[in-house]
Order: sequence, then structure tokens, then C-alpha cells
Amino acid sequence: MSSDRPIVFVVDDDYRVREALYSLVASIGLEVAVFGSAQEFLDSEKPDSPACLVLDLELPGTSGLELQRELAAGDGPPIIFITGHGDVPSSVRAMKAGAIEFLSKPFGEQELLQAIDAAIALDRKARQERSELSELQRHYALLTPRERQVLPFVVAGLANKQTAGNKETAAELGTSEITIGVHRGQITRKMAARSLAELVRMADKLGIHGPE
Amino acid sequence: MSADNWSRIKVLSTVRNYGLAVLTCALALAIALPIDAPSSCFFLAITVSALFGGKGPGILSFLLSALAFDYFFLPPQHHLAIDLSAQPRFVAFLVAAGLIVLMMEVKRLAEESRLQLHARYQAIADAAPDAIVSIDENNRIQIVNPAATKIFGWAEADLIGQPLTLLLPNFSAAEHATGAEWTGRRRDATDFSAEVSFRQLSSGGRKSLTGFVRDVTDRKRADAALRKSESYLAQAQELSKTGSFGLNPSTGELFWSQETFRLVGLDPSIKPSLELVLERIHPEDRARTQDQLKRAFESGADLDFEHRFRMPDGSVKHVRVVGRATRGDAGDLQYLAAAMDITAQVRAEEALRANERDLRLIVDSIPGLVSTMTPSGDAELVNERVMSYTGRSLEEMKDWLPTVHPEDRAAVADCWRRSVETGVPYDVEERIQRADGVFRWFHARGLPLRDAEGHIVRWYILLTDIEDRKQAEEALRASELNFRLIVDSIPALVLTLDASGEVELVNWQIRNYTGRTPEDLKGWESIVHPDDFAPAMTLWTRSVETGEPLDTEVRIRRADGVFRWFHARALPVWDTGGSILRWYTLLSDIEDRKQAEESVRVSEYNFRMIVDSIPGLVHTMTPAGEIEQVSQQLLDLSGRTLEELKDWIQFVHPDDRARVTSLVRRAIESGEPYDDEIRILSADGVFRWFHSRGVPLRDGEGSVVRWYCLLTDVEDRKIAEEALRASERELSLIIETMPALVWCAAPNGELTYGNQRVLDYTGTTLAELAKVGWIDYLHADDVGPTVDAWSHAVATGRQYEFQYRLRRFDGAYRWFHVLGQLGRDSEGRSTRWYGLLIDIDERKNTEEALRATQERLSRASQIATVGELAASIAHEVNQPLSAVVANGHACLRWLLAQPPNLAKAHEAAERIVRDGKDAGEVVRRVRALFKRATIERTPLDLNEVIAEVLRMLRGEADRKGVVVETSLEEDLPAVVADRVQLQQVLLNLLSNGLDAMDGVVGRPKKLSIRSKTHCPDAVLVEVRDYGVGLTNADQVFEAFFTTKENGMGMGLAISRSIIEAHEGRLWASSKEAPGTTFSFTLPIGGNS
Repeated sequence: MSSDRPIVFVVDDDYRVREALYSLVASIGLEVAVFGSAQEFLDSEKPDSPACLVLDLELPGTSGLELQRELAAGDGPPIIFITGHGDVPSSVRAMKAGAIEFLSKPFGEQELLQAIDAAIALDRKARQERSELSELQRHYALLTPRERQVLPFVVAGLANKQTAGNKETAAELGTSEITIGVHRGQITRKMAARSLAELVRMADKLGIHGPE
Repeated sequence: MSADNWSRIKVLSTVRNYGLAVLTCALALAIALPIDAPSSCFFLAITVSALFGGKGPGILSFLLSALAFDYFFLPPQHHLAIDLSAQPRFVAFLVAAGLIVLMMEVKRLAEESRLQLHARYQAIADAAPDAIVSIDENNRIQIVNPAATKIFGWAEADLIGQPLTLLLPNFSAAEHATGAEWTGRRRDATDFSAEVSFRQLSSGGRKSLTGFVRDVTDRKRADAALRKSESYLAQAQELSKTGSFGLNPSTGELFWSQETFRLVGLDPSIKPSLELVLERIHPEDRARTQDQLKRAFESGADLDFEHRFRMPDGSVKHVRVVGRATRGDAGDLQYLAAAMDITAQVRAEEALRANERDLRLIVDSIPGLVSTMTPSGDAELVNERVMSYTGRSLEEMKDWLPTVHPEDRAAVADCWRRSVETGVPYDVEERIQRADGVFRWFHARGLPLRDAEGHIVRWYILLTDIEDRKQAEEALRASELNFRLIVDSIPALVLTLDASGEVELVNWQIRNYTGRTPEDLKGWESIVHPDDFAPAMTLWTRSVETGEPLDTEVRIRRADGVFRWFHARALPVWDTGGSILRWYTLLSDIEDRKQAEESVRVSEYNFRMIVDSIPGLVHTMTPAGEIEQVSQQLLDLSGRTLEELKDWIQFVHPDDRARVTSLVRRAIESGEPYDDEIRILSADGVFRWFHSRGVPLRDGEGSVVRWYCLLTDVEDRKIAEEALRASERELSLIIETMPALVWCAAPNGELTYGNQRVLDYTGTTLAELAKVGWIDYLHADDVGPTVDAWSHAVATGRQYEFQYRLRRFDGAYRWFHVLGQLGRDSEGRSTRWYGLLIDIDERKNTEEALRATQERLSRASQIATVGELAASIAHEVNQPLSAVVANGHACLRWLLAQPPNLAKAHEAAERIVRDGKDAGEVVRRVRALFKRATIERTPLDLNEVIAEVLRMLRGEADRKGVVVETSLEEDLPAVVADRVQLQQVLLNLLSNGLDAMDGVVGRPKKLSIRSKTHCPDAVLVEVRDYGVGLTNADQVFEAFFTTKENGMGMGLAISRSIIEAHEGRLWASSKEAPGTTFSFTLPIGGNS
């Protein structure tokens, strides 16, 4: 299921905090789901929509920081840490690991809601990028091996000047200029690029760079 | 003064008064004649006469004056005739003179009555028992009566003119009220209570106060005594729950004491009446009580009855009323009565009755026949079961003997009579006839119940049905007969003996074999072989004592006198209680086997003889001990001939001669082998050690035929032994003189040796300690672990090391460290445990003291962790607090939504309240936590506390390379403080100081601590480090301020609050660079 209605996950072992945050987040019209532990959160089914995670630092079992590490491996939602202790080393670690915000309990409404907004915006963007990337990858998968061999040369600008470029590329790959030209046309078509510049940006997103 | 005198005086006075009248008239005439002023002169005369003489002289004077006036002055002169109408002057004179007389009389009478009144008042004043005092407006005493002088002890003259305060020190006329009480003061300065009534008098514009002063001391005392006795009475009534009341039936007057009101449950302000009482009486008792009262009132009888009150709260009181009837002055009937609350007694009686009912129930429900008997032995009561069993009534059971079986009757009657006479418990088995005529066996037991003096009050008899048991016993007897048959048919000798070893039963075979009756067999001596009797009896006695089975072989005489060998086996049978019931003995004939064995033994003996006798220096002796033959070796060695050797004793070392001579003689006499070591002179003139051994050879009759003797050279062994002994002696000396307790034990753990110090310490002998006797000397608490450790060491052969308390000879326990090592011989076999006991009692005590200090310290460190606690408290509070904040926002948002979501807002608000309470609960818990830490203030020597803390920190200081310098003032005055808290403060300051120098490089790390008397009432302690110093000396005392990486920043804040709680001061300064000085003062002797 995919929807654009953002959802806020709250993980806190204290039911009072869970209830309060549920009510607060619901009051601004966002979807909320609350969990008492990291495991509960991991076990739950999550909708395919922009999300953010409000995460307590001190949790029984898997701690907040551990959960953060675990989520960083996949496409976890941006994290807003909340803590009753607020010690400096933990906050530094959390922020270094990419947390959006680190809030000390008790925190103000604005701090939290702004952080949630920012996090959801970030996630939305990330999701956007992810879907674009997967689109690109789908296109890239259509390329033949030869075409994939050619693409870096195109990106590196060796094919800027068509004739000279194609010649050098052909020399490099041990094939004819004409063939290279055909390949380039095929690549541009398969990748659905409207211009060479766009093809270069696509290659960049796919992590394809010019030959060394 | 007599009446006669009085009348004479009166007459004299009358004569004088009348004389005065005549005289004044004569004088007036004498004066009037020359000056012709009769009116004036006679007026004067009349006035004087009336004034001083009274009525009679006045009239006389008036008459004389009138006559004289008429005679001398009115025309016709010197004539008494008169024309009154012509002489208006005279008439006026007469009228005026008459008036004067009259007026004077009136005046005199008034005066007289006034004087009389005064005299009367004077008399009253003089006779009054109270002091009468009159004071002027300046409060000066003017008049006092005799009673006043008596009461106050002052003379009248001393009082007049004195201020009233002399008598009534604090009297104030302004505040005075009639009859008020003031303090009176006597001349001897003693005070008393005075009732004072003054009244103000005004005369001639002057005010004065006159009044009574009454000494009311006695009255007050009497009042107090009365009140006390009344209160005693009231208390007595209250305690005994007895109220009293007076009653006049004719008038219905009723007087109640306080307690009566309480008893009836009425307020004392209510006027009591019979109707009220009747109303309160329990409805069921009301009519009866009314009737009783009525009859008593009619007959004038005393009251004595009980009734119940039903109280307003529904409870019931039992009351007993006792009243004495008296006749009042008017002859009317009056009652003086007491009402007692007897609820408790009544309840107790009811309870007792209930108990008796219960008892009866219990007796009836006992599953046995129960009866009680009088001390004389008659049946008193029987329970239901008795009646139902016998089918007889209680009356019929009075004579119970007929119910007993005729065969038992005599014995039972006898037994019962004896119990009744002597009081011994009654215990008999009897058959009692059931209602259907069947007799059943009963076990009758009777116990007497005695009163306090020990007299028998009653017998309790319990009859238990034992019919079944009796039948079982009968069956048993039958089965025993059966057993007997079996035993008699066993083809062996079987007998049973009782626990003490006496023969009980023998089977037929024994009687047959021995030809004796069981009675004859009691004396075993007659049938057991004389040689076997003693050893067999020894074994048998031991078996009887220990209960171990007997297993031996004896020869037993057959009926025909021949002894045959028997294998005797005896097994005990135990009862459930663990004592031996009986021995079962089986004797089996082993004569044939014995004979076979004997022949083998003889041949083996001969063989051994040869083997033993051949090698070495051999010689033989006659049975008398003369040397017969010697081997060649012996001749060679000695270098003597056989003849010379006959007198062998001269070749034996002189020291051994006596011994060996007696040994050989004894051997020859007894026929026993001998065995000794002796020194024998060899041919080269040197004594050598020999092992000498002689064995007799016997013939078939057992007589000695010859002695075979063997001498073995043991010189070398002897030398080795001697060396060994010397070394052992030395070792033993070392062990005995070693200042330690040394012990040895066998590889199996049995103690075999303890040096003299062990024995001295325990005050016992090795024999007592040996094996495992040493365990008895361990402290009871240590026995288990020690035995475990030792057993483990013995089992594994590993080194044994343990600590335990060992009892000294004087009963004191000391700690020992015990070490044991298993010694092994060259082949690795365990030889013996060698052990040491080291006295570590001192060390243990020190450890104990150290442990105690550490415990105290751990409390201190618990307090020190308050910082961490604070952090966790913050977390605890933050959780609900953040929930409150978030809920608050949510609530607002729900309210502000369009349309407002009131339900959600309500929920959020409810959560705010709940979580707010949670936060409050956290705070309350924390408070409770801190409240528990009570402070114990005792007088302390600060130097001692400093020393304690320094001891704790020594390790850390050494580790950090810090030199600790102390400068402690001797005889520092004591402070009153909590030791643990001060330890905590010092610990905190000193460890801060140590930490502060962590980063110091290039100069010595030094921590100095100083104590001194700061000022007369305070002591000062300074802790100075040579560390980095402080930038802000006051900030360090703020909570959560820390310069340390791991600090919580609570230590100094807490330290300062502790010192301030002790009325002291704690501050820091970094002026004397480098480093920081922390100082605190504490008041000497503490704050009161």
C-alpha cells in the first residue's frame, strides 16, 4: 500500500509518554503508531508512506541507539531522539548517526512538531530519490553488457565531440565508431534521457563514472 | 460592780444633777439682779441644767427660774402674784424656756441612743472572730479590732497609721469586690488566704473603708479535703462499677451519685426519677422490678434484687441493687442503696454454664465409655455410650459391678478398691456385658482429679474396647505354637535367648544332643569345652552389649561326654524401637571339618619350623634351656667351642644380660617363642648386634621337645636405626621447639601426631586428639566447613589450607590458619600429612575491625552515590513531566481544532492530572528516601575521623603518588557530629584533593591536612592540595558543578550542606597558589 499520508512512529517504554505523544501528534492530523520497545517496532508492518520515528534513547532490550544502527542498514525513517537523561556523549553519537533532532524530556511542542515536519519532509525527499533511483536502475537493467561498457565513456565526455569521441572510444573498446554511435543512441533511448546532460546526471545517480 | 454600788452611783448622779440645777439658777439670779437681765441669765441656767442634768433638773431649773423671774423681776416685785396677760415678756420667757428644756431633752436622748449604738458596735467589733480594719482614704489603717491583732499578729498600736498593704500586700481597693479572696500577710511574714469585704464610708467629705478580713485557710483546706474525699468516693464507685443512690418512696425524691448516672446511662444534668429508671429497665424485667419495689415500699423491707438495663445503644447491663431501709426524722421510709454493674459476673457464669454443656457434649462424643466416680468410688455420671452399650440407665449403673464378667469381677473390684483407697491410677482389663448379653474385653483406665490440697475430687474412667486386640493376642499364641513345631523339626541346634543373653527356648535337637533340659543349659560352662568357654563368652558378652551378630566356633559336649566342634551363629532381632528383642542362635556341627583343618595346621607348623630354623646362626636348646647343638657359623663367629658356648651368657653384652636371661627363662617356662635383639661378643673382640629368636618344637602331646634358635646379624641395621633415631630425635626437637603448632595425620586423615605446643594449647593429650578427636576443639560454627575442607584434601591429596577457630585449654577460641601437605615416599605413595597451625587471631581481629570500618565506609559511599541517584530521580521526574507537557499541548490543540474535539481534549487533560500525580509521587518517594537516613550525633575526635579517612584513602594516594602530610593539633576539642557524615565530607574533600593533582607534572604531588582550634568555640580543618587550583571558589559548591570527567558534581554541595547542618562553615580558596585549600569549621561541643 502506498499513500502520501505521513505517519509518525513513536517508540518509548513509558506508556505515559506514548499516550501523550500519540494524542499530540494525532491532534495535528498525522497518523501515529506507538510501540513499547524496539522489537515491537521492528516486528510491526509499516505502511509505505513518508514517516518519521520518535525514539526514546533508553529502552529495555534493544536501546534507541542500537535500533538506529539497525535501521541505518535499510531505508529506515529519519529519527528524532527523545531522552530523559540528555547526556552529551549519547546525543553526539545519535546526531552523528544521522538523527534529525535530539530532544531532552520534557520538550516543547514546537521543538517536536518542527522536528517531525522536517523529518517527514526529509523522508519524503528520500523516498522520492529512492523511487527515482529504482526507476533508473530499471532502465539501466535494460542495457546490454556492451552498452554498459560504453556508458562510462559517454559519461566521461569522451563522446562529447561525436566523431573524435566515438573514435577514441572505439579504439579503447576495440570496436568501430559506428557501433559506438549506435550504442550511445540505444543507451539514451533505453535510459529515457532527453539529453546527454540528463544521461550524465542519471549515470552519476547510478554511481557510474568515467573510465579511469 | 454590784447592783448596790450601781444604784448608789445612780442616786449620787441624780443628786448632783439636781444640785447643779439649783446652783445654776442661784448663780443666774445672782448675776441677773445687778444687771437686770433675767431672761438671758435664766435661759443660760436652764440650758446648762437641761444639758448636763437631764430632763428632771431641766424642769427644776425651769420652775426655779420662773419663780425667781416672777418674784424678783416682775411687778409686783418680791411677790409671786402674776398677771400673765400684763406680762407678755414673761410669757415669752416661759415658752422659750420650756422649749429649751424640751429641745435639750430631745438632744440628750438622741445623744444617749447614739452612744448606746456605738457601744453595741464596739462590742460586736471586739467580739468578732474576723479582723475588722478601717482605713482612711490614703489606705492608712485607722482602726483595728482585737481579732485583727490576733489574726495578723501585730499589736494595735503598731498597726494604726500603717498602710493596709502591710496586712494585705496586693490588695487594691479599686478592684475590690465584696467577699473576694486576697492574700493576707501575718507579722511573721507568712501568708494566708483571706476573704475580704470592705465598704466605703464617707463622712465630712472624707472617705474611708472599713471591712472584714477573714482567714479562710482552714475553710479552704476543709473544702479541698471534702472535694478529695468526694472524688475518692466517685472513683471508688467508678472502679467497682457501683453507683449509690438515695430514695424516698413517699416523696419520690431520688438522689444519684455520678456513677449511678453512668450506670443508668443518663446525663448527670437530668433530674433522676423512678420513672426514668423504670423506663431504662429491660422490658422483660420491668414488671418484676416494679413489683419488687412496690412490695418493699409497702413493707419497709430492705432492697435486694437484680435486673437488667437496656441501654440506648441496645446493649444489656446486669445490675444488682442492694438498699438499706431507714426511717427519716419524720418517720418516713428512706432508702440508701447501691447499684452494682454485675454484667461481667453474669457473663462469666453464663460462659461457665456453656463450658459445662460443651464438656458434656465432648464427653458424650468421646468414642469410648466414660464415667466419673465419686472419691468414695460410686458412679456419678456416665456418658451416652456407657448407657447405650450396657443398656442400663445411670441409676442402674450406680452399681456397675454386675456388668463385669463373673470371672473378672473379683479382680476388678479389688483393683478399684485399691485405687480408691490409695489414689493410684486405676488400670485393669475386664470383660463387660453388652446390652445383648455379649461380653467384650475393655481396658479400663481411671485417673483421679485432685483439688489444690491434693484431695481426690472425682475419678474419671475411660473404658476402651480391646476385644479385637485380645482376639489378635489369642491368634498370636496359636501361631507361636506353630513356630515351635517348625523349630523343633530343623536338623540343627536352635535356641533363642533374650536381650540379656538368657536362654529362652531350645529346640528338641539341643535337648537331645546335650541330654539336658533348658534349665541346665543356663550354665553354659557345663557343656562348652573349658578352652573355648572364656573366649566364646567374651565374644558373646560383646555381642549382647553391641548387638553385633555372633559368629564363632566352640566345642560342645555331647550327652555321652564327647566334645564336638560347632559353628555358632547368633543373630539379634530388633523391635521397631531399635532395641534387641531376642537372639536366634544356630549351632551347626563342624567337627569333621575341624579335624581336617587341625591336621593341616600341624603339618604346616612343622614345615614352618624347619624353614624358620635353618638359615643363619642356629642352635638348639633342651626344653630346660641348655644349649644342645650349634651350627658351624656360630662357632666360627664366636671363635669358641661348643663347651664354651654352653655358658653363653658371658658372651652377651653386660647391658643385655639381665634382660635376655629373664626372657629365655620366661620362654622356657611358658613354652612360648622368644624374640629379642642382643649384642654378642664376636671372635675379634667386638660386640655385634644380633636378632635372637627361639621357637619350641612340640610333640603330639603338646610338650616342648626342643628349642630351635636363630641368631641374625643386625649390626648394620642397628647402626642405621641408631642414625635414624638420632635424626628423628633432632627432628622431634626441632618440631617441639618450633614456635608453631605442628601436626601429622595418616593418609586417611586420622590425626597421628601433635607437637607439645598443640597439646599445651588445647590442654589435652594426643590420645584425645587422635583420629578425629580434634574436631571437638573446633568452634561449632567452623566444624562443618573444616571437615568438608579436610575431607576434600584427604580425598584428593591436594594441599590443605583453611582457617578456623580452635579452642584453647581455657576455653577461649583463637583463629588459626592451618596448612597441610601430604608427604610421599620415593615411590610416590602417600606416607603422611604434615601440617602447621598458625595463630592468626590478631590478624583476624584486625581484619574484622577493618571490615567494620569498610562497612561504615560503604554506607558513606552509598550516600556519596546520591549524585547518581539525583540523575535517576531527574529521569524519573522527566518521564511524567514530558508526558504532562505533551498532553498539555495536545489538549490545547484538540480544543483549538475546528470543531473542537472535546472528548480528546478531556482525555488529554485527564492524562495530565494522572501524570502530574505520578511526578508528585516520585518526589514524595525521594523525600521519604532521604528522611530515612537518620543522623546520629555523638562527641567525636576530629583527628580520629581524619585518621580513619586517611587509612581508607592510603591506597589511592599511594597509587597516585601523592604524599599526604598531616598536622593535627593534639588534644583537639571534641565536636558533636555524625561520624559517617563527617567521614563523607572528609572523604570527599580528600579525594577531590587527590583527583585535583592528576594532571600535575613537574612538581611534587602533595596533599596536606591540618586541624586546629580555630577560635574558642570552633575547630578548623583545612585540606590543601597542590593541584591546578580553582577559578571560582564558590561555584564548586553548586550542585551538578564538576571539573571532573566522571564527577556528578554533587559531592561538595552535599558536603557543604552536611557541615552547615552541623552549624559549621565550608569554603574553598585558591589564593595560596598552587592548589586549592578547602576549609571547614565546626562548633566545639556541638550546638545545644
